[in-house]
Amino acid sequence: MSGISDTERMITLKTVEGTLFDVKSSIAKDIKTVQAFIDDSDDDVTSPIPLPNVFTRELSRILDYLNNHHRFRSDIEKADEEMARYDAEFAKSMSHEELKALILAANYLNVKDLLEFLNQTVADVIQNKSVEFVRNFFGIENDYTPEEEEKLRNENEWAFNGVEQD
Amino acid sequence: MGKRRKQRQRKRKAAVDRDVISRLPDEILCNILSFLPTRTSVATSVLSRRWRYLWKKVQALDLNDDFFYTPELSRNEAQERFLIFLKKFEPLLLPLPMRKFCLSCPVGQFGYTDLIGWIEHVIGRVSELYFSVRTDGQTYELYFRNLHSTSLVSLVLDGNIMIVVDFVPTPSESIFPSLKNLELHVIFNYVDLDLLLSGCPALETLRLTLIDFRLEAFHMPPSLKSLTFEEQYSDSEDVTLELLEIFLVNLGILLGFLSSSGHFAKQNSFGCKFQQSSV
Repeated sequence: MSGISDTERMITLKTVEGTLFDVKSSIAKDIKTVQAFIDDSDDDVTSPIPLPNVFTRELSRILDYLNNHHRFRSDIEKADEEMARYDAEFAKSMSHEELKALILAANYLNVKDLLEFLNQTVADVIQNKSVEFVRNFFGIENDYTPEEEEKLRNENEWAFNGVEQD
Repeated sequence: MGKRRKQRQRKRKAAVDRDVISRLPDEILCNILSFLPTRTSVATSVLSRRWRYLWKKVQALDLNDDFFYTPELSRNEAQERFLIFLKKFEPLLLPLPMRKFCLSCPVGQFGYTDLIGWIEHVIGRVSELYFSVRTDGQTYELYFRNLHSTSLVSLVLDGNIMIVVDFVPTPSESIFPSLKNLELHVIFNYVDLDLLLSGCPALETLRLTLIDFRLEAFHMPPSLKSLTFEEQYSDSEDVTLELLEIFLVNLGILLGFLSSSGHFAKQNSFGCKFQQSSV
């Protein structure tokens, strides 16, 4: 019989630290980088797929996210509501450092929905925050001279209305 | 010595951590900025040289003159500054396709044909379009012959604009085959509205504030889930629910502001909520 079965094919992923994760092939489909690796392999993928840019902590969170979203989608009735609640909790549980590390991992693995969601989360964090806060958040070295910065601020003065002061 | 080296190492490690985000490609930073109003992404140009022109590549534009009006500026000065800001955008240089395009300003300082030129230029390659003009009493026309788009998911039109649909869409030639959300706060002839709606086969939510509109028999797309009447300007025609019900096939929710006389009134928001009527 074709279709969904309990014995779904499993794929093994290997992080930088060497931790192995077994992932259902239906979940792996959402991880475009992994899927591309599978598509490029002539034979069935049996050995672990190495992810040289992804750390254990991030991969485990990403798989958590994908597993939960798959579960929500299987129950159409409550899908939107539960997903929104889960996403809010997920966003709240991260420190700024974790959030940035996760964006890097999601970008490398090419998990589009998650990446969009994380980017939205960053946007919410920096909205209406002071220039210094945003510099700190992104770890930006200010390479303008004070005069240049002053000039830019004056040019776009209107853009700073209602923004938190430094 | 050892202590100092440790301090130095710690510093270096911090520098590496801080460097993490600079490894993010511009497209991710732009994607982050696309969730913010354009004025906020413009403000990021002072962060560093790398960020100076990043906001011009963001795939969402919210060109709105609201923020130019401050107590320090006269109305004319504010409009002038907005005009200068608007001119920084060459429609041809916009990073299309875009997620969102909002254009909201008074007509006059920027010619109406220029504005329509912008709309015609972006409509085929944007998923959310918001177009709002404030006019000084004059009515402008917007023709839907040229405005065809497969990418458009949400459309909001607002202002003293008369919408004219001058072709009959067929199933194979819908005006907006992907459109899910439509909000109209404009002048509309019901025949044209009927034509427009028949060109939106995927429409789910419809919100109407129609100026001088006579509610006649118009057909809702079967995909429609929610219909909202916000205001009713017409002072002659009585709107009866029976008339509406006939055309609300498969409609989940009808939201309207209903006054006792049968007119839709501003107050009493969400005064009535009708569940699906069996047809």
